[in-house]
Formats: sequence, C-alpha cells, structure tokens
Amino acid sequence: MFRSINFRVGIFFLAFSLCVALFVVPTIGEEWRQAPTADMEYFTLGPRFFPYISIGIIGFLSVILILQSWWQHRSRSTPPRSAFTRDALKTVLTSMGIGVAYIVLIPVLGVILVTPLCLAAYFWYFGLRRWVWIIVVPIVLTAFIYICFGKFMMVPLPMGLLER
Amino acid sequence: MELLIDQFFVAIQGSNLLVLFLSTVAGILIGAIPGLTVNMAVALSIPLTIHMSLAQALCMIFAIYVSGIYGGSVSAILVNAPGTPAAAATTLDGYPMTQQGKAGKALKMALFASFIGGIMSIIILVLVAQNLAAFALKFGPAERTTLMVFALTIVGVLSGRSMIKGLLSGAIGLLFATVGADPMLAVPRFTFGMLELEEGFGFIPVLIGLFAVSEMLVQAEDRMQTSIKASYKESSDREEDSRLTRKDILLSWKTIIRSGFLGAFIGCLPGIGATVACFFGYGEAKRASKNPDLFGKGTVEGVAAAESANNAVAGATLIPLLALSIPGDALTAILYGALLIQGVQTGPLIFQYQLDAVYLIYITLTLANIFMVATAASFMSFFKRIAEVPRRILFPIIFVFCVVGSFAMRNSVIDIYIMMGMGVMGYILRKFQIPLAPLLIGYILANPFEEALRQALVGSEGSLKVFVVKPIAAGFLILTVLAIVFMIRRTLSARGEETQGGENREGEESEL
Repeated sequence: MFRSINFRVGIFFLAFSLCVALFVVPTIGEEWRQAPTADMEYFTLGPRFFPYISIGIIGFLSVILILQSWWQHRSRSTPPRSAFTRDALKTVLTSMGIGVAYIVLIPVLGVILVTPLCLAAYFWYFGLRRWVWIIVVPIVLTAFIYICFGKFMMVPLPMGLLER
Repeated sequence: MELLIDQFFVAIQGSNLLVLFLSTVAGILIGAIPGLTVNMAVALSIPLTIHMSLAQALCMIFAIYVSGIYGGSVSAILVNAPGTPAAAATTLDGYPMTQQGKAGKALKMALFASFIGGIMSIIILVLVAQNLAAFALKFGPAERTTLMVFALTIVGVLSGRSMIKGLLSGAIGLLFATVGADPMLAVPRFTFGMLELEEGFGFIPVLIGLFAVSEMLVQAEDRMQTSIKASYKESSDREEDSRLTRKDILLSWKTIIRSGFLGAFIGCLPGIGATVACFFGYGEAKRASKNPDLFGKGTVEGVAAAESANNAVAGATLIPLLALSIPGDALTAILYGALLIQGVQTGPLIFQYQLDAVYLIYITLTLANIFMVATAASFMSFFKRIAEVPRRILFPIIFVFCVVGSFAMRNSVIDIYIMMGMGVMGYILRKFQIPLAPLLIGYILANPFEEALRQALVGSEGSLKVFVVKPIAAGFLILTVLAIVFMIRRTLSARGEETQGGENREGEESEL
C-alpha cells in the first residue's frame, strides 16, 4: 500500500493541506475587521474563508484517496510501478535546467541574446548537430520573435545588456 | 428589413472584406501559436480600429475573435498545447487522433463543428437573445454558486480516470486562484509581500505552464527521439484518416447541435465563457454517446463536441453585452471597450437607437464565420505541416514562444517564473495521473465562485438553506449529486475490469 501512487499522492496533499491550513492561511491579514462596517452586527465572511474551503476540499479528497489506495491494496496483488524512471528523470531535469537558465538569464542578458543560446542548447541536447539548426534557425527565430512581439505588438521585451 | 439589407451592403464593401480576410488569417495563426491568445490579439487590434469605420472595426475584431478560437484548436490537436483556453477540451481527443495519424480528420471536424457552432450561436443571438438573457438574469448568488459547483464537479468527474483525482485537481485550481487580492475586501492573500502577486497568478502563464510546458517535459522524457511526423505517417496510409467522411458527420451531427446549444446557453451566462462551455459540451457528449469509453482516446465526436461548444459561445456571449451591457468574460469586456470607441453604447436602448449597429454586428459576425471556414480550409495543408515538424524542433520553439507570450500579457518577468513553476507542477501532476483540465477550470471559476458563495452566505446570514430553497439553485445541486452518483455507479460496475488492469496502468500517459 505504501508504494502505491495514490497513497503517496494522498499523503502529500493531506500534509500540504494541513500545513497550509495551520501555517499559511493564518498569515492572511485580519485588518479588514477594523473597518467601521465590520463593527456593525451582521454576518460576514473574511478573506480566509475561501482558502479554508479549498484546503478543506483538498484534505477531504486526500483522505478518500488514501482510503481508496488501502481498499485497492486489499483487492490487488500486482506491485505498483514508479511514476519516474531514472533515465527519463535525467532528461527531464536537463530540459528543465536549460529552461530555468533561459528564464533566469532573460532579465540579465535580454531576450535577444539569450533566446538563440537557449534554442541552440535545446537543439543540441535533442540531437540536432547541423550548423543550420545550431546557428541559423535560432538567430532567424529570435529575429522573428523580436519583430513579432517587440515591433509589431509593441511588447517591451527585456533587453538586458543591449538596453544599456 | 430595409435597414438590414443596407447594413449588409455596407459590410460587404471591398475594404471590409480585405480587413476580414487579413484578420482571419492573423486570428488563426495567433490562435494556433501557444502563448498568443485571442484576448491578447483582440486587445492589441483595438488601437488599430480607432481610425476605422464601424464596419471595418467590427470585421477586424470579430474575425480575430472567431478565427482565433478556431485557431486554438489547431495546436491543441497537433501538439497537445491549446492555443487558447477555449480549446483545452479539444486536446482530450484531438491530440490522441494526431497520434493515431488522424490529424487531418480532427482539424476538419474542428473546423466544421466550429462553423456550425458559430452559426447556431448567431441564430440564437438574433432570435432568442433577450429571452435567454432574461432567464440568466434570474440567477442570484445562490444560483451562480450551485451552477459553478455543478460545473466544477462535472469537469472533475469527467476529466480523468479517477473521479477523486479530478475533483482534487479542481480544488487545487481553486486554491491557486486565491493568491492575490481578495475579490471582495481586497486583502492580499498568499502574496508574501510581493506586489507582483497582488493581481494573482496571470491566467496566461498558468495556462501555458500547465498545458504547453508540462507537455514539453513529458515529451522530453525520451529526448524527443520519436517525432510526430513518424507517428503521423506510419498510420495515415488510409485516405479516410485525413478527411471527414459521411460516417463521421452522421456520428457527430447530434453532438454538434447539442454542444452548440449548450455553448450558446453557457455563453449567455456571465462569467463562464468558452473554456467551461467546451468542457460542458464535451462532458455532455460523452454522457450521451453510445461509445463513452472512446472519449479521451481519440474520437471525432469529442473534437466536434468541444469545438462546436466553444465557437457557439462567440455569438451568445454578446447577448448580455448587447441587451444588458454586461460583459460576460474578458473577451467581451474587450469588445465592450472596442464598441465604445466606435460610439456604440450597449444596453437595452441599443435596439431602439442604434439598430444599424446591431445589424452590422450580426452580419459581420456571420461573415467572420464564413471567412474562417474558407480561409482555414485553404490553409489546412499548411497547418498539418506543423505536426510534421519533428518534436525536437517544434518544442524548443514552442517553449521560447511560451516564455515570450507569458511575458507579453503583463510585461512582467514574474509571469515567466509562474509559467515555469506551473509547467513543472503540471508535469508532476500528470505523472501522478492527476488531470490538469479541472485545475484550470477551478482556477478560472474560483473568483466568481468565491464572490457568489460569499454573497449568498452573507445574504442568508450563514444559512446553507439558501442553496436548497431556491428552485434553480436546488436544481443545479440535484444535478451535481446525480453526476457524482452516476460516476460512482459506473466506477463500481467497472471495478472488476480495473482490478485486472490494476496499477500496472498507473505509469501510462496521463489524461489532460
């Protein structure tokens, strides 16, 4: 049962909902209660109400998921399979790493400088080795994005180094 | 009648038709590229309309609007990344069809259903607009609350293999939407002192992250070594896989009509919009289908249901806008601004004092649908080429568009981080078989849901009876309970089969 995906998901979201309910929602300010209208005697609901409702639903469904995995465990004998394999996780983390590096460098170096590097890195990582893909296509696409968003749609793209 | 004919001749002037054509092409392309949304395109087109005549302005706005919604289905079908939120349900069957080598058929069905849905919506707009709007206006906070409970439940129970996980996903969407200022008291929630978060997570980064970035990460698992081209060519030897057959139309026509009506009905209810409409249409089609098990695995009926419903919203969403001056969603709010610029004052008096403008709206909306079909049919072979581009080329390019598109909506770098965070979270949820569509719907409905719920409870001084004593509200609650009971019964009846498949199937590709 403890290796079941449903059990793990249930435990994760139960813990998540408890943490949010106990430690995060109470950080929402209660200043609104000091407003003049709040002193008047009528029923009202504050900004914590809806987060508590959402978290309550998440917690309730997590418990059902845990119970369901326990029930399935009783009626099944097949061992569960892991959601992630080592090789897949490695390539996903590398892809994610390139993406994160791209978005972190955008404010520093600017879209025009980082985009061709990001595209070239992805193409290289995914097995494209011809110079057309590594050099020409990234530059052409960056120019297209600049014209499309920066010039045509007037989006103030982050320029980074080029801004200075 | 004379005025209608006059306005028709005004609308079909050469310059107007040219604007229609160019805007239709732009709308389809913008809708098809993830990150470039219809909202953004319509909003950006408004400054261009300032110096145009009313007819030209309406041609441009409606062409981008209608064709953009259809365009969203192109990338939804070909690369599993809905170009617009309204095409989210199209991915459920559209993308599996592409994987089976039926991209051409899916695109043609999407176009056909979009056109029929669009035309039905215009007919409803013209004929029964005021009555339908009057009915929707009867909805108070209690009715809106139960309607949204029903919508969330339907989406949750229908989106994945597990009802609990679907509902869990919807609840996560509700929680994420609470980030930002409280809609009633403007108290910041979960912002941790960051001013950028006071407006909440931007809808576009959330959408792009959940659907496009998570898809890219799933595809990255095998370093994108299998190209879409390969899977497409391998199984598309049969000519009927790339065209709509009579059998497909006979199979889907009831679904198209039903979804068209549903889409039009939802379109005229403020605050719900095309995204919920497409899921409603999809869910209802699945429920009514003779082969519900085929839904989510690549059935042409699923594509028809989603597309007919989302395009049927386009005309119907104008009902409360024109008759009551109530914009139902972000897009109609943008349209409201565009009409104001042109001197058109929406509201009940428009039918007395600016009937020419009303007729022009009807005619240009119809022309926009006709141009959408003509243009999209001509560009079909071009669209199919998107699917033939190897994934290792396509997805890095899409990722860059996602990043720039997320930034472009609010010119904020934090939106890029939100998009990436949502993408990673979406990937993890998919790996744990948690469907993403309910999360998105929960996220969209959270604010109006919270407002309606709090208004209803404050109005009743905290009594839950308010949801039971009002007939319409009680009706939606009964429907909600019936939907859950129906799904539990179906799950129990299929349990024997599931026990055999068991958790061996837990590593399979998750549903959106």
